[in-house]
Amino acid sequence: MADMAVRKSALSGQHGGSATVRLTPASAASRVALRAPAESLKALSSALGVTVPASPKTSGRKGGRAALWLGPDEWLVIDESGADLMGALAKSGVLHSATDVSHRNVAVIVSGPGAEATISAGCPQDLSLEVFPVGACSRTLFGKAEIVLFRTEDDTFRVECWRSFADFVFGLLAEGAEDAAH
Amino acid sequence: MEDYLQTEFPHLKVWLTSVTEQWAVIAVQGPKAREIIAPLVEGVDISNEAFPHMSVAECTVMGVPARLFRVSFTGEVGFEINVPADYGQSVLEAVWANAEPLGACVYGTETMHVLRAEKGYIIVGQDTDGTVTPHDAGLSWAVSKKKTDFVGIRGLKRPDLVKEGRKQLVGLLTKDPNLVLEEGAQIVANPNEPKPMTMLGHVTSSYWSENLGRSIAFALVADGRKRMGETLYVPMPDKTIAVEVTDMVFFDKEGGRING
Repeated sequence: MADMAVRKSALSGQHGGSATVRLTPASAASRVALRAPAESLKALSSALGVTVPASPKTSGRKGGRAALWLGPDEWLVIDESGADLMGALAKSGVLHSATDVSHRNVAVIVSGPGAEATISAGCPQDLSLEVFPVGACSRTLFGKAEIVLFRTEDDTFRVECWRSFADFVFGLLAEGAEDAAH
Repeated sequence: MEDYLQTEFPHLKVWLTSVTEQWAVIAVQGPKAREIIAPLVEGVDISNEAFPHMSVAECTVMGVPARLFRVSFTGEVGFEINVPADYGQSVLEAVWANAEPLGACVYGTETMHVLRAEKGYIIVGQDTDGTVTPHDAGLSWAVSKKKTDFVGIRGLKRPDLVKEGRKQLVGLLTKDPNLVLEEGAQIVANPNEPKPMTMLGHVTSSYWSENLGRSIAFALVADGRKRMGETLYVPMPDKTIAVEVTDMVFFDKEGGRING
């Protein structure tokens, strides 16, 4: 039998940050691009064990699993432990489209008192806690790249992007981190 | 597709998701392709009998879930291994470790372009543009004559798209085998005609073929398929190049190599 293939992230070996913020490539997670009509949300929520939210900019979250609202019929579901999301959704018994995008996306965890300022280096949204509280999420822009931004704690964000944008996003975050230290 | 979904088929319960970046793809092409990939593949019989040209299967490659395609853009026996992108480098290194001792080489897109042109495989967007129908491109075999509806069926019946004299894709061979035509060069029947000349079409692809020891080209030419064997001319600033209109398959015309 052949050797097992070795998994290597598009952010492998990247590290960075400054005196006020830490940039850490997120560990491999399972991810699903989920599309569904409103009437399926209840069954999909119970299949996943997290609320699949209907309100813009909100997420459902339990442990390391989260369902992020991206659009009126679109969510990004992330499980940090790599659990089988596709299998769980297949048992929901309701109309939906689930596509495994675990390798399409990568994520950077941006944490520390300078996290907000770091992301503001490339994102025009108001990220103050009153407007973008813990649990808030948004598919938005970071420089030239599309990202999904998810605030997991007061001073911690998960920045998701497609793998071919990973170097650009990490590089711009590193620049932002430098600026956030001044 | 999103455009069609929203404007033509809004009643369909269908969603589209881009997976371009989810998958890494490794093309292994040539007579030893099967020998190279076989030790890495499990869960599918890839013999020529069980897995002929244009087959597809879900299987495992080096222990990870994969999609294996038996496809070819070179005219040789070929496989395309699709694995989740984070495994791409590891699988590529293993493929290369098997391939190098068998005399394989890493090939780039220019090589791929030459190999596909030798076989008459077109590139949509290079050999065609928005004015070229499947019939113009010699792809009538791919258009259903039985279906009562499909996207574009109405357009294909419009008078201008079925009239005589349309530009059709053909092969061109220069009378001087060492001359490589310029892509985009115009083609005329009579190089001595006073300007403005009657232009019949243009060269869409042109390469030196090492396999054939001569140049090859494709062109869009008015009534091209009726002109097989005719001599046409490509006027250039410094000279006029005589060419013969041919079919588009220049190498392995009987197509045996793809089925090995």
